[in-house]
Amino acid sequence: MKSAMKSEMKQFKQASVLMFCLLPFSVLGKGVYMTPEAFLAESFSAAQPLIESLWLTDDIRDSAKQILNHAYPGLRIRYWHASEKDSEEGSQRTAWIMNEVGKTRPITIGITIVGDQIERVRILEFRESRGAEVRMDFFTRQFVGLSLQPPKSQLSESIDGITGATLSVKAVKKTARFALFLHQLVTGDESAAGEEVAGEKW
Amino acid sequence: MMPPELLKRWHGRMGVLAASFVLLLAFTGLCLNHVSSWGFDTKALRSPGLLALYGMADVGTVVSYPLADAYISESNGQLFYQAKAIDGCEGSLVGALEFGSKTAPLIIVACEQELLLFSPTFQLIEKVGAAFSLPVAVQRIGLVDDELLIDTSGGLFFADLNALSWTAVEEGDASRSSQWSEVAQAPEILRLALAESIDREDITYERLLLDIHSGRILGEWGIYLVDAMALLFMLLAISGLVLWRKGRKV
Repeated sequence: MKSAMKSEMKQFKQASVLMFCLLPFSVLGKGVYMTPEAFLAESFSAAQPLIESLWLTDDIRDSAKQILNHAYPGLRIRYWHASEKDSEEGSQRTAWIMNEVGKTRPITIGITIVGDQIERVRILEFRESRGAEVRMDFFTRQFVGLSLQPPKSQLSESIDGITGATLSVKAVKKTARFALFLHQLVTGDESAAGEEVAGEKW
Repeated sequence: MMPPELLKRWHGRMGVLAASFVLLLAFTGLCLNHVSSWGFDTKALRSPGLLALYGMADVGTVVSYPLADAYISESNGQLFYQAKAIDGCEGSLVGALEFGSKTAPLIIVACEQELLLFSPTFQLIEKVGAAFSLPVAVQRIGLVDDELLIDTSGGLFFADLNALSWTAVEEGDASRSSQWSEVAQAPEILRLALAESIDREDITYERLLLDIHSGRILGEWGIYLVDAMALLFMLLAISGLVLWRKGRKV
């Protein structure tokens, strides 16, 4: 009788400890997952990228608003750029590091584009308490090879969502579309992109 | 099946553990039920200790830096040009100055974790932070022969904001003719305007009661603590029912 009581008490204690230990696991998503330096080293392993800037004209800002569903907070965007001299097409490689708010806090997202297709998406820093699953490889690899589909600048294929991370998923998708849009601007018709760095833009 | 004596003992232990939470939840629930009639929905928190729980500084601790004939101020992570909110600030405000040529002047506002570049009409041009290898934490900014100098916890750097390059310099080389952006007391009229502007986003006692009731006052962990208490209450209810049933059978 006494040994049965002891055993049950032990089980109860173990169950209580397990319950309290498991509860906070879902708040462990915040953190820095990759430094910008590591992301750029991964993106430009062969060539040394140049850091360039794109001034946002009114047209670009209008398009940005359509893609992001809010005005882009700034007049200038920086990006890293290198030409792929080895490839037959001489395709352009760009990398973008942007912040986009999921629910309340910005997610720092790094996107590399080669040609007109996404090569990699990385979550560099996640600051929200929920939705950090977007940093996982099973989610980010869905973007590889996607391009921008006219006329509404949608991604060429759909992205599977993650239950409980809807807003973070949306943020990454919007940023991917925006990066593809900007890549087309800076590697295509540069006059439309307002590429020159002019001091009197304001 | 757990023997009644053991169940009773654990029911008692859980009851003692839950008692203080039951009292706290009952008290805050009672207050929330009468929040309007007792004025908790309009009364703002003023205690610095309670405001600190929300990461908010007292209105009296607004930091200001002069910029020509105006002031850049920061309170609770919000930047102001005079009394107009302009953007957020990662870390504390540590300086503000005009920079660049006469044809293309820039206004640089330095927070500990980022530099914010504004046009003269205070349109944000860009934020330069860790993604661009900005040395942090920035402690002050200044000018030396029209070059931007940033003083960080890792040393002094000349900043080239076009190339986004940061060149380390020896303190002696930069200190001779450097003009640092210095903190200053904003005029009384501006401080009053800022206090009014900040007051619009008051934290009320209703918010405090709600946050205590839900556990949010302790951040995300508080929510899980209250969740754990809710589970404990369920266990108490179930063990209480079981004990009651067993008592009846006897």
